[in-house]
Amino acid sequence: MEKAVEVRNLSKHYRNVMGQKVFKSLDRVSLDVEKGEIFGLLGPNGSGKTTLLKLLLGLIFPTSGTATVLGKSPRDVASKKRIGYLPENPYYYDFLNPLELLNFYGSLSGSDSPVTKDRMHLLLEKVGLSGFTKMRIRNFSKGMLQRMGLAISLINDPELLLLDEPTIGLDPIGTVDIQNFLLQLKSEGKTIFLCSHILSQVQDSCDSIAIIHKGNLVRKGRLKDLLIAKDELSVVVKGLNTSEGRERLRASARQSGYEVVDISEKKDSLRDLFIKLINEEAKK
Amino acid sequence: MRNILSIAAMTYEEALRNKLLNVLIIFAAVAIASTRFFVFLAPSEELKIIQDTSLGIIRFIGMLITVFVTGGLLPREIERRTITTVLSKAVSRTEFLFGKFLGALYAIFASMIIMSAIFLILIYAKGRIFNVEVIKALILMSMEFVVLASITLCVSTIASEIFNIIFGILIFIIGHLTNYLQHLAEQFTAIGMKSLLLALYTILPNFENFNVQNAIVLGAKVPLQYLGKVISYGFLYSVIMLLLGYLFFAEREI
Repeated sequence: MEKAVEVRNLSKHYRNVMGQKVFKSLDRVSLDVEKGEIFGLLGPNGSGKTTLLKLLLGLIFPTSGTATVLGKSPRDVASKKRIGYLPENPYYYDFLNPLELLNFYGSLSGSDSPVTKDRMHLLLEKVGLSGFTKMRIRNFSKGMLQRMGLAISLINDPELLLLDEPTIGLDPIGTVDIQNFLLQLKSEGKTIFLCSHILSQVQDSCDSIAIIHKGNLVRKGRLKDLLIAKDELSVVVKGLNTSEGRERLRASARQSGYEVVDISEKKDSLRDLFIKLINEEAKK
Repeated sequence: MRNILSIAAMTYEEALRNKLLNVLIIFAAVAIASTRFFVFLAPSEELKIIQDTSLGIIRFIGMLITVFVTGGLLPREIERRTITTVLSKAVSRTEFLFGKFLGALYAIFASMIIMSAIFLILIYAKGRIFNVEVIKALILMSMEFVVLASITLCVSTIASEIFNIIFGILIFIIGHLTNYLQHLAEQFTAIGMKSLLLALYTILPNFENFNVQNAIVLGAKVPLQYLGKVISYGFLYSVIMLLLGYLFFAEREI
């Protein structure tokens, strides 16, 4: 079956005016993205994530290696009708309002008919900007720009979404909204390729990941295969407050031929606590 | 075509919001209107002074508008990264470049129409005449700016905004001195120097072809055949510049 993205030994080296190689942004990276999955490309700042995205979009050109996007070369213009892109820290024509901006990008999406007002309003509602249709983009906050960028990336109803740090600038609630939105898009059959350095976000959303560092691919594979310790289970027990209780649990496990590796208090994540408190406040 | 027109409309809208452009047009309007107060220099030559001075103002301001609008077209898009959001859609680099150029031309022509309208109203108010030759001069001037815009856009595919603006102004000045290269070539006997000067004369734009200001002011008529030849020259030169600009832009990494 045709893969959404296929990358084979892709390299991008930058040279100085003398033609000498001065910087390896990507070095012989190979990966596949299956259709219908959420794929996470993880790496620290400057690791080559954005470089790979730009190569897939045909904005920059490889030094060596190949890449195909939905079976076509990144330079193929017609295939971009099926792709949506959200850049990191998006910037748009700031004298327009959201509807005008969506209308402009919709006119470039390659569709035979113009984008309808209903579709634009629906998209703005999905990204949480329906109350801001008359506001000029220059007055948008960073988080609002991010949401606007997501709406623009979806205007042509793409099969494949390329998202560069999609939750940057968003508060924890906004981050959860976007994550849920991405899962919904996946359920609609879309393929999502997202770049991030926020590990929790990738862990909660992605089916497969690749980890990249200084232009080199360090690890790739299905997320659950990479994270799950093959012969260990996590069990949550209620009411076990005493040290004697813990010892009895260890002894019982030993009797059955198992070993209890760790007993510690279950903690909520700070993010979960934050969201719980904000939601409670909102209900008051 | 739809992509080109969408990008052109966006470029035009953005140019209209450019404060510098608006200031230049207002300055031109005030300067043209105030030419009627220079008539104390030669009362019997009132109409000639108004025509000569106004055409000079329109040429100067039109040149500035052209280089400022086109010089920043691509560098600003690249700096702000709006170009990545456009080229990530089903838009070819050709469509993007031509769309930006067309949008810039809309803005330049709109400015020319405003300045020309003020000028024509002024000479009609003064002389109660409608001089068709003046219209021809304005048409040729507009074509001159199309050529200048195409050169500035071509350079902007590889250079920064400041460089493009300075280059555009310099090429405008050089373009009005190109005829001297031909005269200079005639003075040299050495084949190498002669060939170099003639090559430069051929390659560099000859903006004096578009300048019929002196002839108009002296009451001469511009033959339609001349108009046709110069417009064709301008069109051909612009097409070559745009093709060259496309070749640079096609391989430019964004």
